[in-house]
Amino acid sequence: MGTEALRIQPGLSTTLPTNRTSQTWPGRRVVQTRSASSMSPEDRASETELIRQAQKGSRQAFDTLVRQYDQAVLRLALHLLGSETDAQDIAQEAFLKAYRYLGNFRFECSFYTWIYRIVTNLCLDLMRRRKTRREDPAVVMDASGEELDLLGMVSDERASANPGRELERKELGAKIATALDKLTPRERMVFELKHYQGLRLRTIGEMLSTTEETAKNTLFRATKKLRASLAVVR
Amino acid sequence: MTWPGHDTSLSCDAAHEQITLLLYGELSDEACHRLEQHLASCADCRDELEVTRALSSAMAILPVREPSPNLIAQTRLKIDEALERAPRDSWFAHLRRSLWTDFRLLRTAPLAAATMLFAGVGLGFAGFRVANTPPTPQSSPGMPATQRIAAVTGVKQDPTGLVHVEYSSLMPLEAVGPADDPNIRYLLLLGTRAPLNTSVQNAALGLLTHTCVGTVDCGADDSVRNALMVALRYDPHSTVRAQALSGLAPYLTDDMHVRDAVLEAVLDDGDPQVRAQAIHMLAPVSADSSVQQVLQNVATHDENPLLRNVSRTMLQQMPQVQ
Repeated sequence: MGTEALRIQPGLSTTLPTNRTSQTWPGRRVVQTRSASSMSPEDRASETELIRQAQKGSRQAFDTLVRQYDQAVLRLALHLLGSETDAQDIAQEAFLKAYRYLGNFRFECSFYTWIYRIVTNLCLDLMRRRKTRREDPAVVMDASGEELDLLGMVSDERASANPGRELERKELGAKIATALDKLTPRERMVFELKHYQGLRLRTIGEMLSTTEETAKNTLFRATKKLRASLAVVR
Repeated sequence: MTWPGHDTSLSCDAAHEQITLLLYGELSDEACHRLEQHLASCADCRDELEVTRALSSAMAILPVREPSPNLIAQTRLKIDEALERAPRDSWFAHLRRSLWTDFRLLRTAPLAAATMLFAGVGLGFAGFRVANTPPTPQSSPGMPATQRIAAVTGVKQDPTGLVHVEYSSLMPLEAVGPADDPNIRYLLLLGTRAPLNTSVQNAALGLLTHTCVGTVDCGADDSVRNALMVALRYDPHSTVRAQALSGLAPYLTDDMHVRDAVLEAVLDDGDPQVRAQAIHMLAPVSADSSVQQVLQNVATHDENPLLRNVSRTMLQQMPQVQ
């Protein structure tokens, strides 16, 4: 089934990981943002107070909330969309929506989940529009409108000493970017939130207004498609 | 497919799915054990594990990078500018939008429109009359208008079962009625948010828990469950959080939001007693992989030896619990 293509690291162990709850793969980050479960009661109480003040109309309180979450929002949008301009637009629109509809926030989920739900919806809309217009995903622009070197993004310090290895990494990086682009927007989103942002499937389901089971099935479909794409091109 | 002689409790298709979950830390201990047994006797699935791992490693070639300080600064500027230009959606805008929607509906159905208009005016007038009737002390009051209640200052239940709720508006008042009376329940919900009086909060939460949770009335309305969640997550008094925790127990099996809130209490609550209570509450849902992971986490990493012990005991009891 062409699985050789994926064997880029020889000698992988077939034993199960011993610590299953904290698997961290190279390049995959476990989100260190202020998620609901990682906040201390004091932080949570102070955030609640901020939200209440913002709901009463305090612009200063809302600005503090923006400062707490804008980096995480940008990080997600940037990795997902590959464009600084688009990531910036998404962040701006997301916080604008949050500001307008903060009165509807009823503390039934964390603010973190709520703002991520807005961001993921906006990103999904943009990805769907891109698919419809068949925009070229490989053209990546920075905030000033300049084209970025996508392949440059996949280089790392270890490889720079070895040009042959560096080239191989860049080629594989391009293939992976293409494989990711073949996913449906929803599959891409679930894979991003799980693999790259390290969120729990249950949280992902909550953010995408679906069930944990559906998120799980979408993740399976995404990984299967990625494997198939990467096996063919290699 | 399943080969002869394999562990029949797990098919290869199921094992493939579980391998993905395993690599993402989403597989329960029990499922992991079954998978381990299956892998020991299935070369195909061992190969699958290796390939799935390789995929994970390969995907790392596009790492998640932090946005540059320049990008963050530019974005903050853009957000600030956008917020300056866009005032918050006011209650007036909400009202205007909703009236406009109604108006469009009215245009398409003139007869229904006329009926609704007359009914609306009639009900509005009746509502206005009710809202302006002052609550009568020592009797079951009409629904008090929120803006006229400054605070709920006392909650108690007499031997006959009637609930006394003291509240103040311009002057201290008292409403008396059965605990399932909607007006009393409304006042009790306000009582759960009495920030200066822990005993009022406790009494209100206790009465709501014992007289409402699990009944048909409460099932149709999330207000009690929401009040308990807010108290558990945000109340500064541990006794109030403990009371809220007890009240949430009936929701635990079916409501994922409640389960998450209890798991958060296990991990983050500032009071070890509340955390221990939350751990004990999880027994009926211990089959949930998230619950098991949280317990495992506390059992191995928590700095409080008592909580480590309680979690460990819970984990050991799991087969009996299931």
